[in-house]
Amino acid sequence: MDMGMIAIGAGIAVLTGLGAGLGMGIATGKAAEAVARQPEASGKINSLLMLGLALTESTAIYGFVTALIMIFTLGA
Amino acid sequence: MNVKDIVILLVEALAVWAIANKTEKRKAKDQDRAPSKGKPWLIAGLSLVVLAGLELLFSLWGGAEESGTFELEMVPPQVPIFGDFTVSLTVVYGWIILGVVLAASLVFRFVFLPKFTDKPKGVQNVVETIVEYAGNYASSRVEDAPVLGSYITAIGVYMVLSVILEGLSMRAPTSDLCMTFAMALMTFVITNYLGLKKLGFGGRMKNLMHPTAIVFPFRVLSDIAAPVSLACRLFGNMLGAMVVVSMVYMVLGNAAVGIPAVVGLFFTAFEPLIQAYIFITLTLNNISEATEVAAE
Repeated sequence: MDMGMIAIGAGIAVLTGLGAGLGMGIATGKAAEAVARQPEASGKINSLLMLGLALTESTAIYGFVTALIMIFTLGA
Repeated sequence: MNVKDIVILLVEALAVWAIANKTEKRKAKDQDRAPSKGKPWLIAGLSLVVLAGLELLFSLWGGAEESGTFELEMVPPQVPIFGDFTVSLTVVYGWIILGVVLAASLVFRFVFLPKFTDKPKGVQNVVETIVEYAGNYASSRVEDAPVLGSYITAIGVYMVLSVILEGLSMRAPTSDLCMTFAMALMTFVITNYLGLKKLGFGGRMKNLMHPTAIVFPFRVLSDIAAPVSLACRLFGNMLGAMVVVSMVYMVLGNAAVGIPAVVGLFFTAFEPLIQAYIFITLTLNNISEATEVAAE
């Protein structure tokens, strides 16, 4: 298959990072607000934030893995 | 991250420490006299010379690396074990970790365990802290599940040891999709076993169609997708870290001294530890979701 088309497809696949970045930024901002409002709950907020970030990040990771699989299996 | 980066980072840290120590001592010794001139700069210059010498030595030893080359294998290379029977390189590294853990636990069982006292000290203290912390963390997320503490300890120890292996410039076993998928499958089996054991088949089904019966297929789908997402998350993070670190090497080429150590420390030590924490937390979350009784 044409390597250029594969590269374009891989580039489109990693666009998932856009949404993940937006989501993580919003979540972190809200967490900072929450800690500022209630500093004594920072432990709980932290672990919740970690979990949320992990779940948000997974979309970006899926895009990345998809792009890698496209490059390494279709291209080779 | 290479061995040479670690060595260089250590030398740098030692130099900085020596400078700080020297300045501190001098300050303490002659408080009322004027501070000495030039001495810290001399030491800094000396450490730079030592660094340059080390760089030269390593470049002579390891041969010059070309700038602008980029090597990455998504699937680790196969190595023969018995004749034609081959396994992945990461599996062999996994065996190394298993051997280390097995040896450590045997030593612990036959050397340290008989010497346990009521007042913990030394090794006993460390082990008791780890066991207590893991047990508390597991039981804070899932009620009455005594085995989970040891399970999450096993996962954590495996990931920490694989970080150490990667520091020794071997490929981390967790950067193999098969390995992460195996770990995620273990989580899947434990989740469903505990869910079925606690709620029974009917209870589990009822749990799956909790708000209404319409969501049942979606809940089942998301339950099946859970191990895939766990495995892909871990694998993607590890591979992403590897890609970033090799890109740094590619950009720096022959000047790759010092900077890759710092970058690599973040991407091959800090990030995997965060991922280990996330893997453990998500595992416990899945289990607590599967074992909770659906509220009417």
